[in-house]
Amino acid sequence: MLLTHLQSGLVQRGAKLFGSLLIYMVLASCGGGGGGGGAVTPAPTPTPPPGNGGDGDGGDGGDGGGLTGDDARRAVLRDIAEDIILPALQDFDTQAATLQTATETLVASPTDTAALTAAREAWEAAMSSWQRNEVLQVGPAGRSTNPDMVVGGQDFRDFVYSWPVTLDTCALESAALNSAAVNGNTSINITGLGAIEHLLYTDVPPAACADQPSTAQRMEHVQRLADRTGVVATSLLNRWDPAMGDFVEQWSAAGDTSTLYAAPQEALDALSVALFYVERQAKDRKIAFTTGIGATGLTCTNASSCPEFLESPLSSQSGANIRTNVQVFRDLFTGVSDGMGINDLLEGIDRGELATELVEQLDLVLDSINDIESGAGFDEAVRNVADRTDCVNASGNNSGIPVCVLHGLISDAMDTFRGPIVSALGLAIPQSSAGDND
Amino acid sequence: MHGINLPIEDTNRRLQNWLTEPRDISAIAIYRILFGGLMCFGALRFILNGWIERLYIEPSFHFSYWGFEWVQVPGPTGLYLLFGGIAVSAFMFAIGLFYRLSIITFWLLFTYAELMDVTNYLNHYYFTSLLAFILCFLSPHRSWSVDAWLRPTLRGSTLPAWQTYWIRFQVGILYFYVGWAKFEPDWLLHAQPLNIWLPPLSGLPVLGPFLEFPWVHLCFSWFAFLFDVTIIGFMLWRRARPWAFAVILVFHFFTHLFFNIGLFPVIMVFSVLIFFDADWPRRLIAFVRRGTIRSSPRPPIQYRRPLSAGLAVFIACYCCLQALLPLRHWLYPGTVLWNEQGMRFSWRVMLREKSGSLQYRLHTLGGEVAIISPHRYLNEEQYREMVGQPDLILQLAHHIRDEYNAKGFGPVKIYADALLSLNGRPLQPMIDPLADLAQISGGLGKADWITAPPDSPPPKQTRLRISAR
Repeated sequence: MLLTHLQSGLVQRGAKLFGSLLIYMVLASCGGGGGGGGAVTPAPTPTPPPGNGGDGDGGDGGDGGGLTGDDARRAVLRDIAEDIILPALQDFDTQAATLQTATETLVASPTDTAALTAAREAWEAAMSSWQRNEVLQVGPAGRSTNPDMVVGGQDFRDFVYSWPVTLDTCALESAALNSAAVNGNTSINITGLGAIEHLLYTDVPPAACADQPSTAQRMEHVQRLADRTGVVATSLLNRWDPAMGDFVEQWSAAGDTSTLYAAPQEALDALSVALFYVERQAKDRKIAFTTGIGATGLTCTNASSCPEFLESPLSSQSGANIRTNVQVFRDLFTGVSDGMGINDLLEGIDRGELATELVEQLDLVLDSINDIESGAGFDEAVRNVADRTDCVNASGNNSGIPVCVLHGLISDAMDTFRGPIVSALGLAIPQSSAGDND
Repeated sequence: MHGINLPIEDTNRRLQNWLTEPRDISAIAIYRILFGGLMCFGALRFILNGWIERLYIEPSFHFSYWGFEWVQVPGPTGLYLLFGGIAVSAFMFAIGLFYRLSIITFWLLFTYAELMDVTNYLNHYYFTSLLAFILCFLSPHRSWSVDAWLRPTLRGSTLPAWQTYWIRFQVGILYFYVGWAKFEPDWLLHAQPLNIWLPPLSGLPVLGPFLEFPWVHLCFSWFAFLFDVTIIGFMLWRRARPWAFAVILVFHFFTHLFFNIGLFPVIMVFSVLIFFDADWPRRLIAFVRRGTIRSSPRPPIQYRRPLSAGLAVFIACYCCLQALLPLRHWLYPGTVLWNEQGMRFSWRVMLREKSGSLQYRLHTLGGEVAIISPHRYLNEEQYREMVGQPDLILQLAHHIRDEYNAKGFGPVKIYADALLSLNGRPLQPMIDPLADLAQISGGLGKADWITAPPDSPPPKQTRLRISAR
């Protein structure tokens, strides 16, 4: 009994000692903190317009007026949907229809040069339009399965354009020879805009292919491919159209009436992940691989660069594609048609300097592409890269071979996005859902 | 001589008595059941979520722990067997079937799994491994177990007190260091990274709108700090214990709500049950049966099992190691949040928001230069983790060096362009861009190829407010 009491006393004394120690340490910490930098002086907050739903908290964001919190995020999402995503889909639907019409004319006169030129121009317009949507793979356009699954994904993208999946040109020629139907069961490596480019921009099938369809057969297949693309374009548009599937409302009412997005942050996360297209595809595949600085084994068909990786080598549209990708990235930040963009979210938390920095970097990228395109063009510039080391140095120093400088400029912009901007807005990066954290 | 030795002997005897005092086994038995059940659930969750594919099968490269390079990721079949084995062994020690074998098996398999890739390191996985290790030496299967049911001679209603104290120490040291890791300017003065993490959660009901306010972030930062450094003290104080436990429940409910930290809150809640009186399960059962908490049958006092000197020394060494390991970052210049030297195994939980970018520049012997993206070897999860951890950047550089040397391009030189944003600060280089990583050895020494930490404070982000156009 005495022993038990003694032990109990020991435990209690130990507990008191430990507790006292903790309290002491807490007090010490209260007085001892503060090393390593003072407070940041916040930049002036833009004066909000009077009386627009503010809750008058008088806190850190100003003194009333404007939208706050999730209402602000939803407002940005709505503007992005209505001003950027929906118009991009509408435009592609229109361009796809124009392409259908042009290919119908071509089928009627398969050897008519004017008809062929018109079809090619229609294809280039459709491709240019689609390149905006390449960066907007949110909702139905996105994937429905992991690892790149997106909320509301219905896999529309690959039916329109399957790059960087390599085209099976011989299978495509076989399909043309056999008048194969083009539908949802058609393999993505013989359909979509890439397949149309191959048939429109090559006069004859590759010699290595066993099947050698005639020009008429090839153009008829172009029409089937264009028809299918038009159907997919319209279906995708209908998913978003407020009068039909109304994904605009799912997107814009995230965390409110949306049944797919539990919070506006989820929609912003989806957008953030989609924006990484500019890093992973535009920068790494379209530029780093082609210029050869991506070190894809250090052996390419050219002495230094690797033009075999160009995105649209037959139509010489690779540079235009990159410009469109970057332009829509910029539009998402700045907003268009006087609507809001992601920059408004940054300015709304007093991080406007990040918005300014990114837009300046993107402008440099666009200027660089325009310079390249106004010269020999991106594709030719890639073929002319003579020294891989010079290219790497140009990318690192932002001076030298223009097409390599372009790589460095996009790197700078994406570093700003991937680093402080993703942090500041708490945005997601691709494939960030696996596993736990702590 | 007697006059000198007597106090020491007396102290030894008291210590021995204190450590070997018989205590009701039920609390530790319940601990075993809860821990095993949770681990079984966790392993099945890991499998069913497809994380074996995402984290171990998809990546072509895995990061090793220093000294554990021999741990390799098995093939898909081996991985499923490994995680299946974790689930089965956890279930077995939960029900107390072949306890000693099952807990040792669990510890080995779980620890092996955790050592397979550094980018998957989590503090609560480390804690799980330590708890399992401790349980290998304890005897919670003497009651409420299949073993005790099958072997009457095994049955016991008490265990020596040191078994409880050892677990308490481990739980206490965790909370203690989790709290003190927050004793730094970013957390306490600038409320970072909560200032970044909480606003996107403003859609949560009731509490959500408050999460936009910077003063709330500061309150949460200080509360979390004070909670972590004091809660064990309150749990040791009998009168405060129920209230402290209630606070723990609330605190971890919110950590579960706010962050994607999986089973961590559950583990942290169940862990502190060890601070309740040893007979709490019996009293709870009695309360449920008879409606009174005072009618619990006291188990018969069994004989004292002496604590062997060897085991006592081993446990003392273990405790010293656990107490000192989290302090090792003081041996390195700079701040651990930046250089990460001493970050792991130190209970530095949810302390930093790091984001950035990395590319390597490869210089071949022939004078060629190439840019190599880590994405060639890693998936996005690995990339996100490694981009802020210099030792992993070095490790991948060595892998690339070996690959290109083997291809005949070498000896190659490798430089890293690693830009990092810490807690929302502007990007700045984390690795000396002139340091040839191919020539630098890994290890525990001071890494002068890591740049100095940022000297500016993190930015303060205000409440989101925009002017509708």
